[in-house]
Amino acid sequence: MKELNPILHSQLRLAVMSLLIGLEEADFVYLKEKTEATAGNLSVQIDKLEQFGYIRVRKEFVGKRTRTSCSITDVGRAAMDEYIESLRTYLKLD
Amino acid sequence: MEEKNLTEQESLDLIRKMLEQTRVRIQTGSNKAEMWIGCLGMAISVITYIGVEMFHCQYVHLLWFLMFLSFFIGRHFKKKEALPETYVSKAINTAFCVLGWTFGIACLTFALFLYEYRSANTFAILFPLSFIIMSFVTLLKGLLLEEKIYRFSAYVVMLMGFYLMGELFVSHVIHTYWILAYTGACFFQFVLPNLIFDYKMKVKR
Repeated sequence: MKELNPILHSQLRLAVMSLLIGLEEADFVYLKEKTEATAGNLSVQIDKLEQFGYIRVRKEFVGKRTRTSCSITDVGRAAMDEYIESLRTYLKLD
Repeated sequence: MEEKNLTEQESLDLIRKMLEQTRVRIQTGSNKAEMWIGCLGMAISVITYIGVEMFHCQYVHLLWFLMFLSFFIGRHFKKKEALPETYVSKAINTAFCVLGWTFGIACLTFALFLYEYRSANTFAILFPLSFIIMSFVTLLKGLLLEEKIYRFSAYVVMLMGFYLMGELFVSHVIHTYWILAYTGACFFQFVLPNLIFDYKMKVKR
């Protein structure tokens, strides 16, 4: 049986990836609100996902504030597909 | 949300829960910016109409340039909101952009006509044309969101556009009431359908 991807098999990272898979792009504030995570923790997990090339992070200025937006990459989408497929095998959903 | 080891079932439940969170947004996107554009458009056209009727001066028409301000304000509100961009909202924004460019090209072409033939009627065609172009975006939005109210509004504005165009071809006269027609178009185009749709979404939630 194939091992579950350790990068995705973490509560917060999986939550972020699951949110992003249904969206074109999401704001950091939106992700924080939906995952109910702290800003620091979310920031660390987002950095990790970006390091692995699963998400793309874009920073821009809106007025005087920085706005961070995240979107899923093709690599991330493929990893999520594979992860869900592995879950289905583990849970014998086929 | 804290970091913890998940079981396979918990992982699946989490994915399901998060996907459920984005589902509503996929349908709605943000309508606030459009409502701002609509309300400001209505206000500017009413002010222009009153100005034209009171002063009977051609320069009052320059107030139309304030319309660009409404688009900038609308854009500012859109940027300020911490809403995710959905596939539907991206498609609608792209349609807005494409039709905006189409209108821009039409403006340029008719400005050349105005320069060449010195006929204000040719340039005035842009007014009904803007109604027709705007209605296409709303129609597309209605189709993407599967909402009848957007389609209804689009057809009303399209009808207004074709009527004004016909009137221009037949009578060759630009009437002052056209300014108020713009007020109506803004209401049907940007305000009414978004108000109804937002209310429906609120009730659904």
